[in-house]
Amino acid sequence: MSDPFVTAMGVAASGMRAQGTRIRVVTENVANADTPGFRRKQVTFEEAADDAARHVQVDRVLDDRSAMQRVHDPAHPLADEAGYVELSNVNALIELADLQEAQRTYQASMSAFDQARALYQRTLDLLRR
Amino acid sequence: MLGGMLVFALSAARLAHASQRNAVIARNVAHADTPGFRAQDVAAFDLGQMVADPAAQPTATRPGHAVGRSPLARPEVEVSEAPATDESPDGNTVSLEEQMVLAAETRGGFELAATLYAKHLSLLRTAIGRDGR
Repeated sequence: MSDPFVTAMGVAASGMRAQGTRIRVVTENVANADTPGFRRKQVTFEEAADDAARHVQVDRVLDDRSAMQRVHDPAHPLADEAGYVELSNVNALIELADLQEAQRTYQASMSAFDQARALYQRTLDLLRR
Repeated sequence: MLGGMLVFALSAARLAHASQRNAVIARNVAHADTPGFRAQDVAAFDLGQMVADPAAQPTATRPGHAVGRSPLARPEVEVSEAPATDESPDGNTVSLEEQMVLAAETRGGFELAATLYAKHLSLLRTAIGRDGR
């Protein structure tokens, strides 16, 4: 059996890595909110299949297929015959909520990592006596 | 003599149990947003089972053998699915708040066992008269 402290720290780190990717994708969405034709990306997680510690990993980054925002702006170079421009389907509120959730889970993983480290240290302290 | 060592064995088993539970909790937290992940937990530390497990106890095969309780009997820690209190639409049953409580509980148990271990060690030191602490 592998060391439970190392397992705990490894799994917690994989959680932080996965949430970090999610935060990166959210910021990409926000940055591209005004890019015409941009579809917002969303991250899904999965359990790593081939390891005993069962780490988290990013499964796929998918396009959000919801309707694009259409704005009437005949002067825009990308406007169609009716004068509409297709902007992105990024919704700032959704991105904000997603970001909050990612941060919350990131912090929880961080405290799990911290605790594993503290228990490890406590065990080592026993050896020093 | 064996009685004295038993305290070490018990606290070591408690430490092992707490550290494994800690790993399970860390995994639950990391999977807080994984679709379909079921939260897991380990069975509570059972002192009675450890002391009473007949398979792990030594037997006297010669008249001169002293029969005592083996300090090495350590029950396997079993990981199973925790009862779900709330399930999100994607099938995930991890509640971060609940996991934080379990983590604090686990840490408390670990500290208790570690302190007991250290205390017993210093007790033995006192008994053999080294550095008088």
